[in-house]
Amino acid sequence: MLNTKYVSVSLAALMALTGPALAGEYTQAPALKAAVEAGTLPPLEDRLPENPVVVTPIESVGTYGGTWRSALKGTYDTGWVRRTVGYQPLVAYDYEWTKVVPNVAERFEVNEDATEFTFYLREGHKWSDGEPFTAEDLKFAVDIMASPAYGGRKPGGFEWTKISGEVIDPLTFKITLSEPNGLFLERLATVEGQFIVNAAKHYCGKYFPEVSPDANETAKAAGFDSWTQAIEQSCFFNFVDEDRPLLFAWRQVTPYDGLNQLIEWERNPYFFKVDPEGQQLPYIDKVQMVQTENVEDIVLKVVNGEIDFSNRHFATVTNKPVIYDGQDSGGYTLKSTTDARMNHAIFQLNLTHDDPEKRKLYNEKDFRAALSMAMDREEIIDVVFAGQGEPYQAAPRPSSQFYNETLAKQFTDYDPDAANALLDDLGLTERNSEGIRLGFDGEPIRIQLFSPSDQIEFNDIAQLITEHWKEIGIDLDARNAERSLVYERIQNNTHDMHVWWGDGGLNDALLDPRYYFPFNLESAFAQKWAQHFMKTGSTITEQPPAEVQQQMDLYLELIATPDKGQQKALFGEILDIAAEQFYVMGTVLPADGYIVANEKLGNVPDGQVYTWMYPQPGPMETAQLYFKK
Amino acid sequence: MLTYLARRLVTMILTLVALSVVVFVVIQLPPGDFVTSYIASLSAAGENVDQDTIIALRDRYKLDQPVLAQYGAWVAEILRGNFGYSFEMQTPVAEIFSQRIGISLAVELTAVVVMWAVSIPIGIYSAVNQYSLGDYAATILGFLGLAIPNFLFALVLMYICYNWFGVTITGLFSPEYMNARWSLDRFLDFASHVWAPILVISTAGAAQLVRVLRANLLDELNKPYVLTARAKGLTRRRMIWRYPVRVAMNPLVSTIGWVLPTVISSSFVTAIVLNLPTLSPILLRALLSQDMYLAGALIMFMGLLTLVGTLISDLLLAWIDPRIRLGMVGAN
Repeated sequence: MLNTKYVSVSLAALMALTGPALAGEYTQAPALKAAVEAGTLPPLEDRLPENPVVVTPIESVGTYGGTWRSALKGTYDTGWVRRTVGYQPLVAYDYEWTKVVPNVAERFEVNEDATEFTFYLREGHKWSDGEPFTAEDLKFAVDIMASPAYGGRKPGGFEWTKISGEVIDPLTFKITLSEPNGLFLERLATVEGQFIVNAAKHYCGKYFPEVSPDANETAKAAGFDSWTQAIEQSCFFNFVDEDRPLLFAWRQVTPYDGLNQLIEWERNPYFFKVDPEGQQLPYIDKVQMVQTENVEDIVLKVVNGEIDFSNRHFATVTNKPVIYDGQDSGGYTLKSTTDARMNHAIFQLNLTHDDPEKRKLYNEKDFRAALSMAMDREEIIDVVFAGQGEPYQAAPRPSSQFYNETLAKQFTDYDPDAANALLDDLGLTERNSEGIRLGFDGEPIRIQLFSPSDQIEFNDIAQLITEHWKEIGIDLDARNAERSLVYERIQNNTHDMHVWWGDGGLNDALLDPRYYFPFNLESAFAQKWAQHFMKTGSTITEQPPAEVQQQMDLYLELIATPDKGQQKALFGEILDIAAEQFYVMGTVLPADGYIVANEKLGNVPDGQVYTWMYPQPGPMETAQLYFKK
Repeated sequence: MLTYLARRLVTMILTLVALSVVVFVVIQLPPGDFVTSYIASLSAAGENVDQDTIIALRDRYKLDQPVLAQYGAWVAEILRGNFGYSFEMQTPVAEIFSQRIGISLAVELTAVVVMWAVSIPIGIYSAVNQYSLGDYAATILGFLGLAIPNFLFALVLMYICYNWFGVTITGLFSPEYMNARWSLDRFLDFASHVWAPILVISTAGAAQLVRVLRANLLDELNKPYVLTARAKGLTRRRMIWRYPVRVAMNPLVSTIGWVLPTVISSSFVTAIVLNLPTLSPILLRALLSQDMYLAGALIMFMGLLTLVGTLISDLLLAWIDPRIRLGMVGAN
């Protein structure tokens, strides 16, 4: 092992000059070497592809060994698995989140109108069980998703009827879209886009009727209730089948089925990446994820030094003091993350309310502007967020390429007098004995808000705003409710107002512009219009007004454009209309977040973006984490 | 006696049928269904689900059918010994059950045994030595035990252990033994973790038992037969154990019926706070996510345990107390 920094740096520089190391110069973990010598594992040259990815470490080349411990919460927490060991997509986001780069694919080509995408795979690339990984596997995944008979969960953001895959040769795969999609590569790089390299045909084929006619019987014999369920469970985003072949840096040892307390992963001997010295990644031997039932337990594990690298569930503003204080005794440090969210809480009046009186009132822009100006955001920041953050509307973050100052800052200054004046001008001058203004229909204006009871911050903010709005004669009836009740009300369009945090603060704005116009089911301010845009065929679909329709048309135009500059210009127009319309009321721009890292851990990123679309920490390449001796 | 048993068994079956209806209705009562709560939890994780998936899921779990049809299907499957599928965990309910029941039983039964073993001597001591220093000490501790909620006690214990001893006491196993097979080492590891939940669960219960036993025994100690027995020359110790204690035990024995279902439910909050791999967290998760077959099966099982427990305690009562036994014969 090279043990001086000088040597490793100079060697790294040398590698950079000569390009990837030649076959035969690669080295592997001691345990794998022993297995090769014992004859239980093929030699490294046969396990690596001919042209492995050479990962440039964040700090330095590492050494083998150690276990990376983190925690999961409950049964649904596959998100953390997919963010950490699971992020090995066909094409990936780069670390800075500026572009899409090849990952599993060696390279790719896109035609001029963004309808044909050709991916070239690595010669000799293998699944974790040693079987070859080929274009057939990609076609298999696409075929399953495009199959109308497949009733399992499908990755979001793809229109399956418009996608078809074609195997040119075992190493070349072409996707053809029936309509242009300039964001298709970005979609493939998101956490959802990984589906395409998740299903091994030689393993999952037995559950898919188009491959094996008796798939249903096979699935039932394996204990599933249908082939659909077997595929959903064993081939894509769930991790209940530990035998399934993967392309990840670690392969699964224990299934994550909600019963096992400890989910373990071991080094994948067929992983396709090496460091500049030719050492096969990953450095860390094992990954352990403990399934817990509550966040307090995770916090306790963190301060006790039982978490090596994670920010999942516990990294809130409220927990920060405790976790900060525990650094010395727990043997960890805090690194910062840049929150890609642009808001802690966005209050969304239901603009497509079924009650005509409420709808009329909520659709008055001045009404919403008055409510927004009556919020004392500085107080919210001081009370709820320990003074961290700045008043902000639902708008891309200041560091985003889409930053729009009007959208971000309008109506954020606390000015109850101006708010009162606006409401008076609307003709809402009558008040009842409690000082609550009467609406157009003569009834006191009472807005009901159910905030999800497991998101305590929303409730804290809503309680403050209730007081703020009393000043301008508006009654906010904010209650805590079980989350499924909250969602049930939105789905049935029976909510007055909804509150949720603001995703879409950085580049994810393009892929999920839910607060900038009615885009998906999370656009709770205009469910009916969103349904129209999604062409769901739902009974509550409604034709939106002209400005909203114009935004939707612009977005469709954006999708059809492969040119990034053009996309940015079109998105700018959408945001201008959003600023003019002022659909929703934002509160606070989140300050930087944090991630906990064992003080011995090397190659830990600092300031990485934190969001879902860009599945932090995945794009940093977690295989390069290592424990310093 | 046999007819009594037969009659009880018939009522038990009828009660179970009624219970199944109530369970199903109650699980259906909250707004939404499994799919709504599934979507909600995905949103919380930052994901979103498209409309097609929602329709496909509702269709797959037959959530669009009327409640009566869903109930019928559920009962028919149960009669065939199939407790259905957990939506959330995508595993047969029976499998989840069999994986967790062992640990649940071990933790809860140990807690119950500890609870009784501690409380009966203390209860007798404080009744016999009423207003002594020991009685006051037991009373103070007992009220503290009753007054401190389990979860708070668990949190305080976690804090103390972390802060003073630098250990986290959550869970029942250290990571290296979580997936291991049973062995002596694993058992020792288990024993080094299990004291915390047992301490927490048994404290409140023991406090209650001490109070009940003390009050009952005090009632008995002043009765004429006690005086008679002493007058006839029985030693105090022998007399107390032989007569008043046996009578005072009646109320305790009749609560056995409630002890059995606690295998799943009593340690609910404790199990979640302390992150125990028992059935309680699974029941809570199932209820929150409206995973109705899993929740239904667990609640039915608790109901069954209550019924069996009541039966056992009635039989025990008859065994301990001749008055009850004779009353039964008289009724026949």
